[in-house]
Amino acid sequence: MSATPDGSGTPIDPGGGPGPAQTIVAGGVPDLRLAGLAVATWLTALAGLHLGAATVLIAAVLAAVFSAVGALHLVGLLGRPGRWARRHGWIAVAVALGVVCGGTVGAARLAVRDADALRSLAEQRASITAELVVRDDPRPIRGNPGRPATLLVTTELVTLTESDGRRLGAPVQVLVLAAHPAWRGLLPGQRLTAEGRLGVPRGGDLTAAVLSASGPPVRRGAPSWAQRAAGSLRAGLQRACAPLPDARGGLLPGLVVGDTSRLLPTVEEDFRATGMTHLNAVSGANVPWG
Amino acid sequence: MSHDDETVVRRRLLRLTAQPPPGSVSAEPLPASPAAATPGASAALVSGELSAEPVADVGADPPAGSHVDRLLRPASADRRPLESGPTSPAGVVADEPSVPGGSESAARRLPGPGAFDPGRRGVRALAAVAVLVVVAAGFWAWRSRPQAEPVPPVAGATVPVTDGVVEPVASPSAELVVAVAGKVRRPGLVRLPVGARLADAVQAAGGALPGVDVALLNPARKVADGELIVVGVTPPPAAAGQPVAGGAPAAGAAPVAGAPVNLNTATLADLDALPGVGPVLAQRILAHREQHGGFKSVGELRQVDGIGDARYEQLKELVTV
Repeated sequence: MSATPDGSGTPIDPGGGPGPAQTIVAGGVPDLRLAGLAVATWLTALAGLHLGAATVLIAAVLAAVFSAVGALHLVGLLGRPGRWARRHGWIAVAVALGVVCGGTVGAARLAVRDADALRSLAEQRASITAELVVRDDPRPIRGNPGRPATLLVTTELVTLTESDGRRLGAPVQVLVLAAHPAWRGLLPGQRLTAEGRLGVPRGGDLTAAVLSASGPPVRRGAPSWAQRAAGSLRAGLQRACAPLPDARGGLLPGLVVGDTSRLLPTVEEDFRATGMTHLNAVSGANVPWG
Repeated sequence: MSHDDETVVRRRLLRLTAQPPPGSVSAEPLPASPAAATPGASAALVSGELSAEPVADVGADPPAGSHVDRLLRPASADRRPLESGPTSPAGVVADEPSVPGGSESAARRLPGPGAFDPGRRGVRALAAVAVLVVVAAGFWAWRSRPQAEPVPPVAGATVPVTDGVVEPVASPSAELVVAVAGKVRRPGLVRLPVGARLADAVQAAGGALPGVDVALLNPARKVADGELIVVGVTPPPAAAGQPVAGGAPAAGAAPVAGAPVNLNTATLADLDALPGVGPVLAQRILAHREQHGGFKSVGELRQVDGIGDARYEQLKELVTV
């Protein structure tokens, strides 16, 4: 599709004056102008999860200073840019801007995650009453034989009340470990109150605290109609699969909508051994295309 | 060929490393006339000064075809290094046979620094985005800092919030009030800073009268708010178990069965005597008391490691603060 530039009749402007139609990089190579920024943003955010808010904020500030000085240098206000600077300078500035973006956003989220008020409670393993909003389907993890299976529920904290009545509100992610069967079948968006003991999370993600729930959740209101509709569809699928033999009946919802709640441990182990867990990890796209 | 070479030279002059050979992609599914595609291709030659508003340009007529070109390009560009040999299958890329020196052409077509270069205007746009991001992140972090709400029952006391950090000690004023009685110069209430020791309390009450030995009261013990410290008076045995007995249990008086054990003053032996509490757990309770400056409620006992709900239910009637 790209005719020879010379034969097109459009004069090539060697002077480099910016024009209206110059967004297209020459054909044949991908447009990677945003790649430096994107990779830097992503890597900085990832590093922040493991290095903490302070480190990543310092990195962002340094990068901001670097990009400002670099830009001034490149436009000629700070010395004469050398050959390397002319050739790669704007790329370096774009990468530094990516570090600024990833660093500040990461630091903001990590600062909320690591706020002292909640972190000290988690370190004390304080017993609290928390008001939470479910953010994901509860998923079972394999428990020790003889003990009830533990459910993992990703929730967002609204407020928590300490044993002496102090209340604390923070929009952070809390992972609930629950053994009570009433936690099963909660829908995302459900608001609830739960009692339990806080714990320190493993780190590496945005989970601010782990709540070991001591009893059943007390539901407050209902989830949104969209979540209820999705939930009823999933429940219908489970009902439809109920007459099937265990292995197949547990697998089908997993393949279709990623619902692995009834998947047999042996089948799950088979999937893991063959490296095909992605098939029942995500979405129904597996079946229509499969 | 000659066009290609020309463009290469021109491209190097203009510090743009990538310039398409004519007809680079043959598998164009959409009707993109050469006339439509050409302005886009030629425009790219211009010195890396890239416009910062690609979306606006997509809507314009001539670059529309080129936009499709750009969407398709990554796939073909990824393939290129593998097809560096002259025997690369024709038909995938139509002009491939016309390029001599396969490895050289592959190297020439790998995205060089020019493809990554956003240029001055591009960086200006990115900088604007970065400023927005920083402002939004700061606003979000400020808005979602932890909010501590005051405890309703405490008389008008608000828990101080400093930069989203809740004061770990619940006492609204960082001050303890203890009563010092017995053989001191000025018995009565004394005010002490948090973390004060029993010796400080006695000192604040004017000091012990001559001849009174304070050592038995354990002068190093931290005092808790609202405590009664009795100096130089051996409490009658019946009162030994009472919650305000101060350091009296150290004098060897065993708690009377049935009387609740004060968590803030109890010794290791007192706690050990409680049902279901062994020496290890008793030590943990003492450690918790030391760390947190005393128990403010019986419910805090649940925060001690090793005290679960069942044991707490069992203990809560037997202890007090």
